[in-house]
Amino acid sequence: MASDGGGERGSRLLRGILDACLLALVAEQDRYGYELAAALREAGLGMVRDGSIYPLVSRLEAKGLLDSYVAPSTSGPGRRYYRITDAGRRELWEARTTWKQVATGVDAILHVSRQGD
Amino acid sequence: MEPRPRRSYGAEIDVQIERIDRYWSKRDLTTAERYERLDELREHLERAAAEGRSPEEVLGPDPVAFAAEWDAARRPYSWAGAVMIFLGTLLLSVGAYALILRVVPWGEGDRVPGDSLVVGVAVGVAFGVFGAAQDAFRAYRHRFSRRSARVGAVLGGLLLLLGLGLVWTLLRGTGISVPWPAAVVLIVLGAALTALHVRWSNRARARRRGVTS
Repeated sequence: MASDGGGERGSRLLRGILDACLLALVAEQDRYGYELAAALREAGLGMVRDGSIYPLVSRLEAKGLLDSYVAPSTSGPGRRYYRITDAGRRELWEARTTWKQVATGVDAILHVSRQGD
Repeated sequence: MEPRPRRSYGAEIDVQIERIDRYWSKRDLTTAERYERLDELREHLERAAAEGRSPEEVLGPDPVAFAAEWDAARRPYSWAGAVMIFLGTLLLSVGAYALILRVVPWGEGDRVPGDSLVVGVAVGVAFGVFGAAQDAFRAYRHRFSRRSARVGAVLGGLLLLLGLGLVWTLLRGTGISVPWPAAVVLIVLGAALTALHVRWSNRARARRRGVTS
């Protein structure tokens, strides 16, 4: 999923939450594959390999969480844009809630450990 | 981050796209769908190359594994479908066998021997397991070497044979009574389940190809 740059740990951590990140990006605005990859890089998730995005959005589409359409492009053939569905928004809301709980818990533990260092 | 030196990846991109195209041309993607994906991918690789990133950095070391993963992602494995095809095949086999036994000279009337039931189960399991194994292999192709996949397939086949042999030994000498109306009902039910599965599969395939909404 990820290149070596971000390390194996980053890759493993992202594996369970990358779908939610993609849903969040598409919830902001409709995007196509390259835009999703660029947005992840801009957010500091450069360890995600661009190629892993395409199977993931296809999976989200197959689950009915994303929808897609082809729009003409000025620089070549049409591009497939992805947009979030109502089911996708519900899934995103649940993912955000879960992530908040997990992040708060992990953060508390890691901070306690750091004080003990 | 320091800007990376740019170099031309044109030839490398062509090779990767060609390998991916060769793989997808053997799958059930329509030509339009395949070309659309290839165009999108080529544009992505070219833009990445302009930023100094190689096709390998974008797709990973094995472009065919990437192609297989993307292909498998658009049709998640359906356990409901596997159960339907298993039950459908089983009911059809038992019903048809019960009817055949009534007309052939060596038949035993209404009685369907237990060991012949194993044949029905074997056919059903074989369909279900084959479908599951095929989809699992496609989805996780990048994690296995060709050799380990072959070894896994052979071991899986042997285990299946062993299990069926065991069930056959247990059911040998036993049997169930299936009167002809019951056999007809089994055939109708089996055919209905199989037809329903085929219809669902076709609709899912049509949706994937954008034929329906």
